[in-house]
Amino acid sequence: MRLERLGRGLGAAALVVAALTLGRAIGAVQTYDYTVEQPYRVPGAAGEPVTLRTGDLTVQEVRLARSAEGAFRSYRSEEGALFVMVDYTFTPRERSGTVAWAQLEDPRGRVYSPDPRGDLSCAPAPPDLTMTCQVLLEAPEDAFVGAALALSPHGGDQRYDSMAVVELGITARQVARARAATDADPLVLDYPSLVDPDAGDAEPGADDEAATTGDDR
Amino acid sequence: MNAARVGWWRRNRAALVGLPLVAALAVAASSSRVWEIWMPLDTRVAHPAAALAATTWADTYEDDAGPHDRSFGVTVLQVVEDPELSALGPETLAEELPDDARVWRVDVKYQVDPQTVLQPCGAALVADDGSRSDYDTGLVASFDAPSVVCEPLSRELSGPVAVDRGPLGDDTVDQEPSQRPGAYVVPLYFLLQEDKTPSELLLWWQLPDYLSVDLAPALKESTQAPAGDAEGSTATDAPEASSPAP
Repeated sequence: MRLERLGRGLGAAALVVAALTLGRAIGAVQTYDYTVEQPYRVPGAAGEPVTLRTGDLTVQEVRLARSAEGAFRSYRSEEGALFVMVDYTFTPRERSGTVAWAQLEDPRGRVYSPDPRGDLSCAPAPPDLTMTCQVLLEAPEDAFVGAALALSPHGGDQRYDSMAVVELGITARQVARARAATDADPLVLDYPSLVDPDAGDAEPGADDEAATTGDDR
Repeated sequence: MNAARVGWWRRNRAALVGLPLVAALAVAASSSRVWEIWMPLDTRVAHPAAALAATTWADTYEDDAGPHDRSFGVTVLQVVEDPELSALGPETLAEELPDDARVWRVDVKYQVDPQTVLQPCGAALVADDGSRSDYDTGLVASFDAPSVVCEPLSRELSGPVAVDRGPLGDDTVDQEPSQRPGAYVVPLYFLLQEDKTPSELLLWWQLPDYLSVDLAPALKESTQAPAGDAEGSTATDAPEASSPAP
């Protein structure tokens, strides 16, 4: 009688252990698909409008240089690195909005953020009015050719919403030229401002001679 | 054997009945994140009102001292285009505005006890196409635009704020008695794209409830340029409208 009870207890314990083992094994084998938690990446190219859920975004100009002036301080690039300044416009659609997050993605999968060396200068615009914004960040020289800039309306959590991924079209020649221009003027961050999209092509920083412009290949 | 089975079911019936309940509770307990992600705190519960008519807002807010009932009067006095920002004084335009932007001003009159807590509060303007411009001091005016959209323009006259002693509870809050007048007008400025006209003003003091003011009556009224002073509108003697009583 006692033996029988002991046998039952051992059997139950074995069953519990077996169930736990099975659950752990299933958990280890099954790969969880995280795509549902990712931002919706909307690809685009410099100069073309990219349609996001909250508005339209267009990269206007891409410049490289060895030095830059951010919102609060000046930078000189580290050896083997350059600063990139991307000017873009954002026009929110149904509700006041802005672009609050940016990250450079190079073809090898490395990512570079404006934080801590760089800035993102943008402000909320009312619906259907266009805001000019800028991103400044530093990356190694070999990261620029073929790099794309990811831009999201959300500063904290980029998931569950669309995110622009804009091919910047930077060429090896542009990188070489920016690297050679040791005494070039620094890239200067502007305040964000509303612009009239119909009033000519107001290109901020277009007179910056040392900069290499996006259409220079 | 069969009898033993029945015995087992009978012995464990309480647990068997409880099991689905416990499972449901477990799911509910871990579901708060679903709510946080998909239902962010926003203007969700509308309480309709109309411009030019005084509306009484009544609700209960909670601070460290416990729940407080409050009730105050809100009236939208006028809705006008005001590119000169005449209520704020000259040189308040933050920057040159583009040709396709229009500056709209909505005057909101408050009738409220000086000791009643109104902050935090918010405002947004909905245009005729349904698009929504949030109140933003950075765009329209530099320094004098009210950063708090429910208090008098002059900062010294701001009313009390809710008591929050923080997680440690040691931060003693000594508030001066409020000097806020019993009635005052807040001029709210919004930027709209040129093709849009205002249709609705959203005001809130405790989300997700908000007051949705239909601006059509005020738009019909105001064909003239705004008065330089925010006070002294024709609509102050409007009859008390029914309370939305949130």
